[in-house]
Amino acid sequence: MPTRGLRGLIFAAVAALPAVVILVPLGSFLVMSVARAEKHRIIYDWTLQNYVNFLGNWTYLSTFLGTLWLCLEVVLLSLIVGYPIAWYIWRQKSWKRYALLQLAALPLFMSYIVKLYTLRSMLGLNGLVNQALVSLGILEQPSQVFLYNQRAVLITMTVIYLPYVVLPIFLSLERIPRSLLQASTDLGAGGWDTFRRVVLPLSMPGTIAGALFAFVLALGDFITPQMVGGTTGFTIGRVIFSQFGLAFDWPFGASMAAILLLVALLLIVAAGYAASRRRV
Amino acid sequence: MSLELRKVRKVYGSIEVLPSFSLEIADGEFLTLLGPSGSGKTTVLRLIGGFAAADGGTILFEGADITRLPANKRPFNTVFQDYALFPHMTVAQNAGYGPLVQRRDPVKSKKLVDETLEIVGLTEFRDRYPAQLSGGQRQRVALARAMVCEPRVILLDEPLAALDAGLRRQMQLFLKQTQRRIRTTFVFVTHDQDEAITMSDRIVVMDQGRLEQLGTPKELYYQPRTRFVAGFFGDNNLIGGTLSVAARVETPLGSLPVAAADGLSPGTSVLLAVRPEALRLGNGEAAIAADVEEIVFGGASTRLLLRASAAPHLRLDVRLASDFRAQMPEVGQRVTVTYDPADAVVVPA
Repeated sequence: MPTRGLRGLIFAAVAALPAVVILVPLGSFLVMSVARAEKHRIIYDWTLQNYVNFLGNWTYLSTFLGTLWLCLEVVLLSLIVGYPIAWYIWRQKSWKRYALLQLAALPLFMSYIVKLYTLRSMLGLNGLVNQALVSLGILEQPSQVFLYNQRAVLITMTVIYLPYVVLPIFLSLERIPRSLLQASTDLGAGGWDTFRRVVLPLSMPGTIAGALFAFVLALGDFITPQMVGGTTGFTIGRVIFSQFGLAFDWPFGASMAAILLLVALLLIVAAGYAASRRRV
Repeated sequence: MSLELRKVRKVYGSIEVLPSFSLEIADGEFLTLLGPSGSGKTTVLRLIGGFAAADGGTILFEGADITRLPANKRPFNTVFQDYALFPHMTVAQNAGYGPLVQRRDPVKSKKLVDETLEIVGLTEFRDRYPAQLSGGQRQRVALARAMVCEPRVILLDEPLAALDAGLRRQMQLFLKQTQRRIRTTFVFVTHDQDEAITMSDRIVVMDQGRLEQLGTPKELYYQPRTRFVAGFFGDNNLIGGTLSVAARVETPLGSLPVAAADGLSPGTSVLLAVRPEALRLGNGEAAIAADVEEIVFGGASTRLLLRASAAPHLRLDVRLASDFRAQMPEVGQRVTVTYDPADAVVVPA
């Protein structure tokens, strides 16, 4: 048996490791965001100029707001698609339900980049989507509207982040005791009333969690817009990336990243509050 | 006859839970389905409630066939074993759920909810959530929710199982009083025979999907017709033997008298059942010699555990009213016990 002191030490080490690998990089970013870059060199002289530049420049700010809007659209679309999928899986019995659940989780085991390339080829001029629409007679000729624009970013992100929405919703549905559904039916409720008044409110924590996942992941994603966004699908992630990779203004990039982090944290807190307000 | 099950059959997978079950439930009675787990009592309740579909037979309510009627169309409501309260709704919202989804008049519904909460004594808790209530209070909410739509039958699935002993006795009384007050038929499922005896107008004893015996608590207690009922209901001394002529049973303890043995022909293997409280010290028409093995003082009664002298493997349980002044035998002493033949019954072995 390890002594008390040794146990304390082990515990401290276990707690320190994630703190170091997560908090220290974040802290260094925050420190960098108040520095300035001059001729590709970083000078640490504690200034808020980066933040002022960002908030005072309508181009940056509008890109930022546009990105927030895009992320909201991703959330909305993935909920509209994901909730019915989760619900459908939940309604299935025994092996079918778990087979479908595995299928829904399967994309999580695939490389993000592979999924992106696949979707890009599907949305392209000769892609599956256009071929299908043309052969069904919905389109007369292949359309370019599915790729290299904001819409393409929306579709791609929704598809990629769908599992993150479906799984938490499924889990919260799974937690609803069957007896509650029976009680609702017993008291005279039809399927729709039971869904609206019992199932939906009780699955809210999972729905909020799923929405949060989709939003935060979409917010930080700069690769998807780069791959399928073309010139109109410009997001704040790409701007930040360019500050690091092209403009070599790391402090400015860090300040934008800090703002992004703040927005994500606020959302997480707000979502946590919304979920805790529900008595489930 | 209000509710009737006719030769109802239910199969789960390859297990026939109910082979052929028939029962008539009268209007306004408190009927208990009693049996050990796996006896099919909950299945009967689920079939009545519409949560399980019968694989055969018919269920009639006031003469109409409701076998295929979905649960939400039946004029019955259920109190579930785990209460199944909606955690995101207050007490009043839980109670008002039925009228709400049945699109009843909101003003009348509110009055109904208020009255019902009054009956179950939860008026001051109307804005609390289930998580803020004690077990007994949750139980009352579940009852209020089932009562509020004024159903013709209320089905209760072991509603007291989760409560501790003291609270359970209190709720037994409360349920019985409420049932008398609202004059609704209660179909109550339990595996607890004390609960069944104290609350019911009639009890259905079930075992392995069969109806063992149906009767008032007194009938079941004093006139069991099967070995199962005799052993299941309270404590009983069961002595094996063969029925002879002239209402006597030949047992290893000698020839013992019984009051009557309806429908059993001489020569049948039977069990003679005598309640511990029907046995007393002394001599009489029935006389059994035994050695005192243990004496347990239990307040109002004192229990003697005896070993029959003629057949040492046979133990007898005797319960005497405690009397401070009376002389009690001592451990190891040989005594003679007797009973009134009218208190002894025989059931087929």
